[in-house]
Amino acid sequence: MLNLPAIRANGFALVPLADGPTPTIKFSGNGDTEAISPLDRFLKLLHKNLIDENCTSVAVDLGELYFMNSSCLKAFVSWIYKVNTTGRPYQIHLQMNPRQPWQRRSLEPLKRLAPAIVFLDELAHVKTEMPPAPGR
Amino acid sequence: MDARNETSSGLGDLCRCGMDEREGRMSTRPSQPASDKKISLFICLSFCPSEDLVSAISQLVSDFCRIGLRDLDISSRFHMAAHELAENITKYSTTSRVSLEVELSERGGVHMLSVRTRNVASPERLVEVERRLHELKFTKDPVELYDRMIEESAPLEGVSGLGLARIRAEGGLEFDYSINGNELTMVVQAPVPNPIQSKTP
Repeated sequence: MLNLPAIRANGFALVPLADGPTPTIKFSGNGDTEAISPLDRFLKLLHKNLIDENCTSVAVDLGELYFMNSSCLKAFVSWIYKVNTTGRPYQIHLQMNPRQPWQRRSLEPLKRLAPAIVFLDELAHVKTEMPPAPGR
Repeated sequence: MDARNETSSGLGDLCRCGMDEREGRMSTRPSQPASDKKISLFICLSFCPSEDLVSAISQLVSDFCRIGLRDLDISSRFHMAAHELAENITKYSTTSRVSLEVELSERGGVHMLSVRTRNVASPERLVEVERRLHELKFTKDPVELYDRMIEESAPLEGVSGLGLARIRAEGGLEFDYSINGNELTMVVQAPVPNPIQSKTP
């Protein structure tokens, strides 16, 4: 399974989830300036892990992600591009919170970028309320 | 100094204020409205560009929309737009003063919410950004433009350049800009529900 360190920082977290048949990472909090570099590094490491382990799919749980800026989106764009242009691509399941209307709007362009490997799934059990803005 | 005249004529009465750099303050007031335009709210945030402030500012805009308009969808669109605009002016300002304004107005029974930013940028940056802003403003298909920009940026490391295009494609917001000398003004706006009616359960 995934050999990735969890990242818990001020305002966001990137955590590999061990349970379940599909490798899953949970991206939560706010994907803003603080998250850009850690997210980029994390996704590169994740890609290497998934290739090394011959994984055929990965899930990204975004149920408690409350915002993602364009630079964090770009990190996903670069990851998807890399997966789509490697010899052995794997499926990426982006698990959305249906109560966060921005998520579908932001993630649909990623699906259009690589429709054969990117799938948008709605999470069944999600939180409704946004947390307070992260302290800085 | 770039001595260009103001470009883009579409701003109309949306922005009529500027920065006084010599005194380090904003000389800002709501736009000079046409006689039938009523401004019910005007907030001006004038600040020293800092990445630490971007999230707080976009959260303020989002909270205003959520509480004042009680509309989660509009709130999330303007949150995203305010965040991208605030990041943009923070990243590219060449002076210690930028501004972001929020205005709720009504004209002819139509309520409009707008977010307007101002910053001074280098002439080189303005030349580059004007090309992009012109394309963004006049594109007939913002989603197609955004998808193309995503495709073009995908192989590039560390470059985003997607923020402003995202405002139109994802947010579905109207976009306008002007360049006056070295000062760039950008405005995004959208019709919103009547704030009074929206308070009725």
